[in-house]
Amino acid sequence: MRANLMFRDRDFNVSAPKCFGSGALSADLELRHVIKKMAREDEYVQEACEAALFTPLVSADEISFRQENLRDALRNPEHVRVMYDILVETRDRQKKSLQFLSSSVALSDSLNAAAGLLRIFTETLTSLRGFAEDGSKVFSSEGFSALMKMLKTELNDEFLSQVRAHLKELRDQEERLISARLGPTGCATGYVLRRKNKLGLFARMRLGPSFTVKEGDTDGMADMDNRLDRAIADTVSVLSRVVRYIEDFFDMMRRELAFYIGCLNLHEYLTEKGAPVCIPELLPKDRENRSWKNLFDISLVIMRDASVTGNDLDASNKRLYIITGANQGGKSTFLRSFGQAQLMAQCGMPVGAESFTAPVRDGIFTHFKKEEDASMKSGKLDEEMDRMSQIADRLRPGSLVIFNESFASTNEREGSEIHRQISKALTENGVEVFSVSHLYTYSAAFSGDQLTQFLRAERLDGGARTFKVVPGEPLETAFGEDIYRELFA
Amino acid sequence: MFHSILFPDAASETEWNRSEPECFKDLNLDQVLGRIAYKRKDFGLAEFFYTPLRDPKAIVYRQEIMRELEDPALRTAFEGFSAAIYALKNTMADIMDSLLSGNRSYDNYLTRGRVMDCADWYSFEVGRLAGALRGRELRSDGLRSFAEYLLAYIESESFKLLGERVKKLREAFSKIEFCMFLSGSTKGLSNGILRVSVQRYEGQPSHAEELLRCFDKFKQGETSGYERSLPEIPGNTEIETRLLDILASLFTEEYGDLNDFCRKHIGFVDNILARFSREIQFYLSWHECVEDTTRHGLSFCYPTVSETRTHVYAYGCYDLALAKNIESEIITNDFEINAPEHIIVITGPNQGGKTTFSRAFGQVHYFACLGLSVPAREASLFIFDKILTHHGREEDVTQQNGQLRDDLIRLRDLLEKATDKSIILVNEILASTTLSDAMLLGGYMMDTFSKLGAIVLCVTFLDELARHGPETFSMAGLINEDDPSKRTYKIVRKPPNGLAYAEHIANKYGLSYEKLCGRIAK
Repeated sequence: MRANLMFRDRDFNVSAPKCFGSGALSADLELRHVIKKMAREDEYVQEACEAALFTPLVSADEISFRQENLRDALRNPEHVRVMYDILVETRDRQKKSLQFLSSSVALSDSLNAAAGLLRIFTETLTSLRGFAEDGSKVFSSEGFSALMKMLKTELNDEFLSQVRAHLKELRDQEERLISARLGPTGCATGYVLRRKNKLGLFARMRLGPSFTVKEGDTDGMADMDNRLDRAIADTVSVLSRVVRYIEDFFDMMRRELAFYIGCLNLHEYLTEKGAPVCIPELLPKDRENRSWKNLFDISLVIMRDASVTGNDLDASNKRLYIITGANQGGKSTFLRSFGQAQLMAQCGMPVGAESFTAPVRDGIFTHFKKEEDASMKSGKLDEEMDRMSQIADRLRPGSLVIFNESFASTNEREGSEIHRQISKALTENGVEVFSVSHLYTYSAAFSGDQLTQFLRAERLDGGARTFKVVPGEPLETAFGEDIYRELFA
Repeated sequence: MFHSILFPDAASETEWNRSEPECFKDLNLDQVLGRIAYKRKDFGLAEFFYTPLRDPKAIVYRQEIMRELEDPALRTAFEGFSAAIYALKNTMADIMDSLLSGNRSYDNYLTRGRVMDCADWYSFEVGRLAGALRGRELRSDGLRSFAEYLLAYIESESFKLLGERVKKLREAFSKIEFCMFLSGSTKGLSNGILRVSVQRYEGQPSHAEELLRCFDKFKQGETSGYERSLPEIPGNTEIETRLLDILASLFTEEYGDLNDFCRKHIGFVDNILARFSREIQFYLSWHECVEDTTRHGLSFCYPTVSETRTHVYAYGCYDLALAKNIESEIITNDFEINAPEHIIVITGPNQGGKTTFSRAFGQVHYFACLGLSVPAREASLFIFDKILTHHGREEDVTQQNGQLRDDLIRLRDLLEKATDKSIILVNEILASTTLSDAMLLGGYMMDTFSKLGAIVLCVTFLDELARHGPETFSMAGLINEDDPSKRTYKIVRKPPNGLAYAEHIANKYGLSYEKLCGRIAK
């Protein structure tokens, strides 16, 4: 029984290995703010959104499957939330009972506890079945429709009445039927708890040979207790496994739904702040066109709790994007907004823009300048080269690398040459590169190159910054002086 | 007729030494053989390792068996057999006591059931080993003769009958399945009585299985539930006996057959097989040790053994205790004694491997006389009557004697025990006196050794002892020409190094006479 809302044909594994550099991606693109806003303190949602973000998809088909489900969820947010809430409620109730299953508890108590838990789960299953009757009328996407159908079929009346019969028999502790065989040494072994539903059993049992154990015979009682426990043990194990199966089933449902809950949460938040949200359009891997309208940094909206300025772009047949311009002119924000959108798009999430069209990328990597680290006085360039080398191990044609002030820990000439050689090697081998850089020698080296798109942090004639990034060749000086003037004037 | 896997015949059988020989600790044999015996301590192997042989025929008998057992498949077959039969022998002795006790707490269906189980196991193990040996060409006298015995044994009427009966019993008992209907509560409720009705099982479905079938569809993948299982602890004897008595009344044919079986077949364990199951451990345990060592690239060989010392040698020998204790590369050494030589004097720097060499020398001889393979590449060794050691020991403070006196007392005791068939290992015996004293006493000692005619290995700082006479030859630590401060642990046949080592070191640090003069001059 699978929900399959994340993939058409397989489970959503939240503990799948994250893509390489997920820690750097998260920090460099400020993703934790985004995830937090999606999660609204629900750990399942957080886990699901994190897992999805750090295992981006490459198949356009897989992405559009999620996008279709997402559209359905956006059309029926209340239904999605109700279903999710049924599952969350069950989790809260089951927590209390679970401890009774641990091996330090007497088996007969474990049996009761497990049966109790099964009773709670049966109530939830009954609710889910009821929900599916309604849900099948409103959902239209492939994923959600299939889920409704599955619930209706698997949780039918016959199944539910079987479950109730089991629960009833497990409750009877006064009369138990157990069977045994003889072990290799002729001792009774292999105790099994049997169902008592055979006709005439009681009469025949009363007539047959028997022995009794009296209250005072503590050794005898303990021994029979032990035999009964051995018979029950298997049932307790199975029951605890069954409980775990259902629990896993609920968990799976919660995980598959949690992603959409996260998307709904984010969508609701951004809409409330007046920021545009869209479902992006993805192009095949070999395309080199990008266009977006009003693309903004979601993390910045969250931190300011207000909408912010976005950027537009329309580029075709470009492979290298070099972004230059004034300090604090919005270059890093631009880089983040782009990185977030690219990654979120490839997970089937909505993105922060009016529109966003981009090719699918096979591997998204960030290489950002590290903040000053007291523990590393020397070797900064070593560290940068080492990081780059690790990324290089994982690059393929169609990958994307985003640089932010890289290789600036040595002098301009050396840094430029290193960066130039790297950028040239990458782009000539089909890797797309975005680079924010102050290294003028580096950017100038690509001047006139057909595959290079220069972008610049906009600066008005009077020196005022608009925090917009617009097409433009690099200028030889940065605008540190501007800031100095602004701060010390 | 097969007798013992450790001795070719009754005549060559010797009394076991019950305590470890005196040389055991000095040769670090406790670290090797003691450990082997401890690892399989149920079998009581120590005495085998305490008792070297003097009869070359017996030694060769064992060597052949040992060599044949280099085949791991053969060893596996014997390991299983040995463990099983040895355990069975002990268990059956206990069971017989129980059945003869006349006490129902011991003589009951519980005990009789165990007879069936043991007999089944016994038939199986004996049959399995016979299967492994049948049609196999065995080269060693010992194993061939054992295999003949075993193959004749399994064809015997009594063994065949045992197997048939046990098989029939097993089949009948494995079909017994019954139900217990428990009414009342084990918790002391229901007027405190628990009534247990017993009947044949009639196919009532298992509750657990039905539950699993009902809920299997929820399974998302492998999951670890709170699996509960209780160990199969022996039931309360009283209850189990009552239950089995009822079963005996429900299944009369099966239990009648069991009673008859016990009457007729109780003494089924064969004495010769039982003895073999213990003695074969001597070889198996050694092979385990050898295998563990050869994994690190070291070799073992089967030495020729001789009662004369005309030509005694070992190439590539090493201290097995050291090889077992350290991970780094083990340096191997050679020695060769040609008559009239019988005294080796070893000199050289401290920590240069002299004592290790001396131990290896003693060990290869000791192992050889046990009939084992020895830690060397190739060897021809001497059958000794005893190995006498005099290694530097902690001073015994209860004695008011000084160390020299103490050393000499021990040397005297040693010489009293020694014969021309002995191997004597002495180590830095005169270190506690003046050089002139040492040279004098050392000379006397060497005179005694050459008169005695025993094989002697003498580790000393006195170069002079190495030139004592035609019975003596010198071995010394090899110096690393490139870096004399590095030990080579290589002991080779050559004159004492004298001052060569000191000169190397001095040159290296620019402290030789010329260099030091040259440095001071300016």
